[in-house]
Amino acid sequence: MSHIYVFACQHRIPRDWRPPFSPEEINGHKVRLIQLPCSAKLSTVHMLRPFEQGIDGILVMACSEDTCRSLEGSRRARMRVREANSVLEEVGLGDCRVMLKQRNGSEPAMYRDALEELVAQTQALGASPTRGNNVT
Amino acid sequence: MIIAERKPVAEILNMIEGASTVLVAGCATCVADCMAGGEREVGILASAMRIALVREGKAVEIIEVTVERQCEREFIERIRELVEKVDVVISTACGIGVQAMAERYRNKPIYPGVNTTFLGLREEEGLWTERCAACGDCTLHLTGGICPVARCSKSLLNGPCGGSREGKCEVSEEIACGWQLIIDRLIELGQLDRLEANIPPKNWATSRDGGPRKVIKKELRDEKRKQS
Ligand code: SF4
Ligand code: SF4
Repeated sequence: MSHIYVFACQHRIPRDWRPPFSPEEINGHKVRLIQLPCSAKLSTVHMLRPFEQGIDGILVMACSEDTCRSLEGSRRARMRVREANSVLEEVGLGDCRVMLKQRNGSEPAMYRDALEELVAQTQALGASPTRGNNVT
Repeated sequence: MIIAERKPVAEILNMIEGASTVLVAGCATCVADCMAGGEREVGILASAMRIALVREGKAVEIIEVTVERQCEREFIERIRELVEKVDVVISTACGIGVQAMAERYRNKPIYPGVNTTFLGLREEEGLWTERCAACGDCTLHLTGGICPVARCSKSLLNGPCGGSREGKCEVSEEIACGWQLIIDRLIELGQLDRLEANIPPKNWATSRDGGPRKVIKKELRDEKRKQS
């Protein structure tokens, strides 16, 4: 079972998935969904810390760059995702454990497809080398 | 400002070999602006170190702190408690901050987490470029406000050399010819005639050639008080 954190802009979360009703499992993967007021709120370190605890990957759901209500938010999220992946690569976790999807919808199917893509990517890298380090 | 770049995590891990508690100490001034060693980068480095150490099966406690300016004693004194409880400090301040910490905490190994690179500015998002080499004898008034020491690859005081081509330096297509920039700016200022004046050789004694430098403001020094 992969363990994935999902950071999502509030405008991209399916209506029935808003906290506290967020699913804890999607397609058989353990997930933790964190709602953000905007993807701009997501800092690089927010994406690194969960890897200290041994998660397998992170999915970031942002708006498309031209519709971001904070104008720059989704673009900044793209830069930070790139930075997080480059740090993870430097410490031997590979460069594709954080995946960004910039979309306009908010359907659960969008999450399911993205999760499958991310899990396939992380499984190709092998289990997270920090696995077992007290995932919370 | 002072521009720096974070050292590779592997190099930093080598420095802390054998330590069981490490303080990553950032500086919220220049190195924060150039995104090398401020609070944000301290968080990133500390997290990267923890992940790398877990992979190696090592239990090392990494603590994080950032002070306003590591080049000022008042600010670094405030983290004494943290410094005293760890085995090693990785400072992500510039080389000045690292040395200020080393002078203050004499029994503690203080190691550099960044490479201090140059004096410059942020030119674009994610791009910092050099502007001044701290030569100690500024002649910007003669060169249109553009520094020939820092921005001409050969630090020519009377340029350009014969290698300048279409605004680029012969050293690399990536480098703008400093002297072309100077000429363009002199034209903008209506001061192109300044190019005819020969700039005399610099007295490099004010630069690194004269050994470690000092600035003394006599009127501000109180002989009666012992300086720390
Ligand atoms: S002339 Fe000297 S002091 Fe002035 S900008 Fe250039 S290197 Fe710096
Ligand atoms: S081409 Fe221009 S910048 Fe390069 S060395 Fe010559 S004068 Fe200096």
